[in-house]
Amino acid sequence: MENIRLQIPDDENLPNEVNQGNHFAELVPGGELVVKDRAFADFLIREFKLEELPTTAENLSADLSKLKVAALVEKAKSAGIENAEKLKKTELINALVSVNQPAETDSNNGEEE
Amino acid sequence: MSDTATNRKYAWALQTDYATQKAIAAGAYKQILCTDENTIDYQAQIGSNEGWAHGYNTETEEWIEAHDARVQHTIPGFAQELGKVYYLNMADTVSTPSGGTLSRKHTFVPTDPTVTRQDKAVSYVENVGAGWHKLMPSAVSDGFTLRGDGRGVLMLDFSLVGAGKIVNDPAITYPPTSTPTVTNLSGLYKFYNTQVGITPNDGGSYNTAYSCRYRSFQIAFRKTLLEEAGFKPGCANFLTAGNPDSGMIRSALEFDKQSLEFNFNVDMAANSPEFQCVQDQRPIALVITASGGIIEGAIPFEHKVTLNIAKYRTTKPQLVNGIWQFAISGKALFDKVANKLFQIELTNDVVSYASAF
Repeated sequence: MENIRLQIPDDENLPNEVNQGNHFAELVPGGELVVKDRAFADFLIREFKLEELPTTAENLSADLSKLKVAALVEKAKSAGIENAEKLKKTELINALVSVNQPAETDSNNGEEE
Repeated sequence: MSDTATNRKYAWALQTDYATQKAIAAGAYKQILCTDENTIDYQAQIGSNEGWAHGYNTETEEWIEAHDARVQHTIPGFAQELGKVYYLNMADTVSTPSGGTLSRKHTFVPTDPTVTRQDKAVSYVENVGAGWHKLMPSAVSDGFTLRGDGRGVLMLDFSLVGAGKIVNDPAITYPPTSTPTVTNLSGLYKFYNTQVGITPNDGGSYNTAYSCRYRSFQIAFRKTLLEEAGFKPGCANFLTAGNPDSGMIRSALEFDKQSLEFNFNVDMAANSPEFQCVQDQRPIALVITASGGIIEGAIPFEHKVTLNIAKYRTTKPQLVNGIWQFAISGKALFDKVANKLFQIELTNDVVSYASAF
């Protein structure tokens, strides 16, 4: 399961907690929340205006390091990384992090100031 | 010594997910204070080779394929306990009422099937003496019926459908044993039918609270559970782990459809306005409220059911306690704008049901 990081709006009118089935979230205004289920994350974004935070290299690396090598190889193959079977665990993690990080873009998206 | 009705005791504890039984520990389970004398209805689902092509009279072989277990209970309408059944059946959003510190407003709506179809499960235990001491893990509720009648306390009927597993003689202890597994309930607040009011609103002239005309009500929230699909051969989930001969148990118990039906009785009024609603099949918003004692400041215990779009299906005169009343029944329709079938707002002093049982 992936870790989905969500920014909780700084809104005192938000409920204290929310659940759907076994999914549960405490909403601390202005805080950050990590959920593992995509459908629940989408629900929180839709209903309570939480914002999804980008996955940083650090977070992604930490998540990937919990996986076994076989799982990393599978992920690497599906990400189009060549010779994935021959890479060591740290190399697999670094390769996956690099393909998952969007290239840095200009903060003003190229618009004229 | 014989065991009598007063010996019966029941309790439950919320599980973190469907599969994981609540660990048995001091105070981990909470009493269910019910009014009935029901016990677990367990069935072994068997297969046999009786009809197979043996060619001559042969000894029949029979085996266990799966297990099934369920139980029904009725609890009084305690402001704190009603929420536990709603919590199992619906999604809860918790907020603190303005000016409140101890009080919480729980807003329950049917679980959103685009998020999950697996509602919460409990580990359920019951005991009627040394002869019947059982634990049923992974029990899911298939809805509830809330009703109020006459001068009585509101009542809530619900059932629990288990994974099929029953644990015989679990290490569960009840009060008055010292440091028991089960904690008894205390500090409960009752809702009476005398606190209930119903207000219909068709957006026109039919929008006045029933007030003294009100007599009784019932709402029934039903979920059809995917009971057979819950037995997943690929999960290889058996009564005795790793032993297919011991019979399968469920690996999940998801819901399919959700629906809400209601009925209520009111004294007749001139020109039968309710009959007109049936005849016109008019969409009506219905609000059923019970408001009572103070939790803190000016915040009362409150129970409010809102059906955004309801349609009356039948309205017929009925003789009750010697007077003619209208017995009205109908169904809630899904409100696309509000994105829900109905909602229950329950204000009480339970901070979070996630840790209440």
